[in-house]
Amino acid sequence: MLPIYICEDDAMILAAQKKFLEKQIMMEGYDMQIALCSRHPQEIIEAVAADPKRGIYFLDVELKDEPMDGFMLGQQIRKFDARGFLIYVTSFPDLAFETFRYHLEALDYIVKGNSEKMLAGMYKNLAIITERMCKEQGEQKEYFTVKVLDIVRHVPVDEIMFFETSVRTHRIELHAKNDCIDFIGSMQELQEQFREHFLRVHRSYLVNVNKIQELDLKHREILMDNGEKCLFSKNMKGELLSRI
Amino acid sequence: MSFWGLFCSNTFGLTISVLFMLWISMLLLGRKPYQIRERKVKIIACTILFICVWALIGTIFYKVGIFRWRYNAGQILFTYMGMTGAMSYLYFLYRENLLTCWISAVFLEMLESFAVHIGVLFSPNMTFHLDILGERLIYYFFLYVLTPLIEIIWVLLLYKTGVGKMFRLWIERKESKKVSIIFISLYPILSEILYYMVQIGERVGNDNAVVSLLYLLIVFIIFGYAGRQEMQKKQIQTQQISMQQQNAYIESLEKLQSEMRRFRHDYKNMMSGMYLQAKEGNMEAVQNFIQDMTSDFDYQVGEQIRRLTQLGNIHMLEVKGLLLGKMEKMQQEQISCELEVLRPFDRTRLRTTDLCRCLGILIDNAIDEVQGKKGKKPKPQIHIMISSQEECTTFQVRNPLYSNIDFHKIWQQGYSTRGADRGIGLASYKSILEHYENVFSLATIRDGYFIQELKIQE
Repeated sequence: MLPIYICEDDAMILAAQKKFLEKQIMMEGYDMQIALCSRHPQEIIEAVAADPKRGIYFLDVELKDEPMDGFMLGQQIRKFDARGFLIYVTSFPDLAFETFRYHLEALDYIVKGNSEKMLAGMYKNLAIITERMCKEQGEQKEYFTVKVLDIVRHVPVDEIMFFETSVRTHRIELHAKNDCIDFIGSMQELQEQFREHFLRVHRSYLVNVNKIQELDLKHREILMDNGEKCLFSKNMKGELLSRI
Repeated sequence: MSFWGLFCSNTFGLTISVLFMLWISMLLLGRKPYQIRERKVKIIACTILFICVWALIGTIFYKVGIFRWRYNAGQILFTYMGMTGAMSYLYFLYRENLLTCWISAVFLEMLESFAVHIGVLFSPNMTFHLDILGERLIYYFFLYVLTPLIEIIWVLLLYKTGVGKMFRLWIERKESKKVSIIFISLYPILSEILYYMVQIGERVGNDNAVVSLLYLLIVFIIFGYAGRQEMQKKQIQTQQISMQQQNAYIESLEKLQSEMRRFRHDYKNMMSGMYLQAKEGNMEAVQNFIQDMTSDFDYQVGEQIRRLTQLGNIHMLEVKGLLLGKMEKMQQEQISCELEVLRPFDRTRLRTTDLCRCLGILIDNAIDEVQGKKGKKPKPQIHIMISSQEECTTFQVRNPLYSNIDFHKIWQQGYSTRGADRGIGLASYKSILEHYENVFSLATIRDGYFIQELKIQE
């Protein structure tokens, strides 16, 4: 059961949103429930903190006479619910949504100018959330989670080609199918973590053996599935050949 | 005095001067040695090696008698060797270009010898017989106590007068500074000549200090004059940039105004149309009209206003200028540009020039990809986000990808799909970032978009 929280400073809009959501949940039989509708962000935070679990949040961006805005409220909510769905409701169509999405992983934003459009937007998002939940249930992928300053990225392990040490100490570069991420880490720890499919073929490289396309024994180079190349050291040749 | 005794005392003295050299060079170049924490062991080892080699050469020179050559040629030779050594050492420490290292080395040598000469000024006679204990002790006092004291005073003076900044400005100068470089490089020889000339004039006492002081003053003047000139030029440049920026700003405001005028005209026409429909009681048409009008207004005028408000949040003049320039370029290429700056952005730990270069490279990358893709889907658009949070600042540049090229190829050194510049851009981007510890770069392909990020820990 997903709890739904609504934070909106206009009582009329709040009532309309609540009524609409209740109706939708009934009609579509969604596994959701309205947990709290409030005009004060503090109440929302308290409620989430009291019972932290994955939820759906419809948050107004501009909160009049309140100490925080929707962005700060989102940041607070994220502390308790990292995987919840944040949907922003705003009266300004030129919201800096990319920033919201980047820092809060907000799902969408809805413009409230036209009430029909607003409700249609809410409806659409409920559908998206349901679809996502279904998809996630079937998925059994292994992810590598990496933190870079204030953000966290999840990279599917089977997309990682290799890890490479950087010129700067304690810095690792992750090379994956669709990502190149520079982070703070230690080769030793990664080596321990990925004992199964990864091999430390060189002082600077930890390679996913499932992603090797070919070996150039003469130049001691490994060609990965995505066309990138890395080196291997002489004494790793035997083990490398036995693992692939 | 035995060879080893001499070597040891030399080593001790040189350790002190090398430590001062480190200190002063940090002031002069305005930063810590390159990757000091990581290369700790290497730096210490290199310092010890440098001291030992220098001390050894000095000892050998003394023993062989090179210092007693005519016209003090041995001394000059030794000074040059020392300066070359110091240059290599500084190069190792700071990874600056060799010229900068050389000038710094000469300058350091000047300060050092000036300090020594000032010290000697207080001594009754100049030559010490190191074999006599009493004289040796006095010599040591001068070498290890008085000289360092004077050097400390020097460092404080340098710190107060901001010579380091002048020096850096002088180094950054592009015009020819050959004459000054030669003049500075000739310091050991020229000071020796000056010294002889003063001696020939049969002046009383020790004028060596006066000679070094004179020389130092001239060098100060060179740095000061040229440095100030450079500073003025920079000021003019920033003023020009801000002028250009203001012009661009005014232009976009004018554009906005003309759009408003056009809109007002349309709106009047539409209003009269609506009035008729309302009179006839056609409420549906009236509703449609209101809807059209609001979205139209948003579309037409919204984009301009939006961009201006976002730009207004950028308080770093250079970054604002860079973005305005790039936006202009995008407009010419008919690429639409979205800018998002939610919170005011006023400073970052990255040096401004480096930041501008990096941002320029990222945006150029994006432009390269979407250039000439007009009419294709998705529409050529570049989205730039600058987000300053408390603990870090994020720059994100996002553009649609039109082909299925391998991700790493866009993001690897030396690769180019169009022209040779592209790979070079990224290579220099990476090499700039290598100088910073708390800067992270990320690149991702997601949902058909290429996303480049630069994160700076504040």
